[in-house]
Amino acid sequence: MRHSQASRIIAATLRCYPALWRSRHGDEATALASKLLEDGNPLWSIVASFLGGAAKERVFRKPSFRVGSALAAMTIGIAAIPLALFASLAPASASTNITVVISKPGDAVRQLEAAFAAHHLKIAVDKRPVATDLVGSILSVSTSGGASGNAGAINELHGQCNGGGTGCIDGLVLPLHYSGLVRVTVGAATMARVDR
Amino acid sequence: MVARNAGDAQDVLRRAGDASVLILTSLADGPKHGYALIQDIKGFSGVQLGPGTLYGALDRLERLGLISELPSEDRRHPYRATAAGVAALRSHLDALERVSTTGRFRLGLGTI
Repeated sequence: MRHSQASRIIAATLRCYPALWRSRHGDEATALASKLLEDGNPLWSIVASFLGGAAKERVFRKPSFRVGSALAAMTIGIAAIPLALFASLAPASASTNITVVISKPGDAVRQLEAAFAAHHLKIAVDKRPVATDLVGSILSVSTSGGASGNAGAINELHGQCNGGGTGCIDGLVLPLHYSGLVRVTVGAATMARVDR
Repeated sequence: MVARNAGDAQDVLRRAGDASVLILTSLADGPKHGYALIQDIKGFSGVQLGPGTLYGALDRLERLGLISELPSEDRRHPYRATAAGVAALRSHLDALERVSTTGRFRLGLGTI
């Protein structure tokens, strides 16, 4: 098979991914596929791996999806299963907990909100001005109401503080289907006051 | 009230999948981009990660805050393990070592 023909097949396969994924990884994935082909990897194994990844991306990553795209993704996924089994390493089964870790202290509120929204968790995140070393750390987690089915509740992850100290709370592990009301307070940099 | 169960919380890689563990292990000695990760993992484990599996695991690890993306070199995005990623890998390898030691002992291949 000619290289240009293989490239067209790869490009068509990558179009199975959501646009957001393609805008982020599309160019690199195309280049990576070319390198793998040059190394002698069979085209079908690359295509199967991308199809399996696209199916997972569409089924598991999208916060809400239309029935049409869900059916399309499931069809792709079912078709790709036998090939993907041989072509790639299958990850372990999905967890019943989610783990959220703050990796960017200056962007902690947005990170937490995005992670909670992605899992449809109605968790409010607010911020409180703190000293530099507590910026990006979780200061408190208050829970109330709707406790049924929340066995195990919420666990804190302790990691490094902003600036290198230890013992700060930089993440949470919580049940995937947590139903209670939760408010998470995060340390934020104090705003410089402007005197007029 | 927040429950604390450090033992459960620490090994965040336990359910993240083998690909995630292989990727974090590869990143333990420095940043790498996708192709370098595949080559390195094949070299030390014999596992050929498919590109779809690779990107799925990279996204998952980044969402968990265990790796972060570095500024792009042309079309390639290098990734590095974060401090949380290094801690998670260490914790997971400790757990695997306990299983390995017990298994070898029970097979009569070593002592605890």
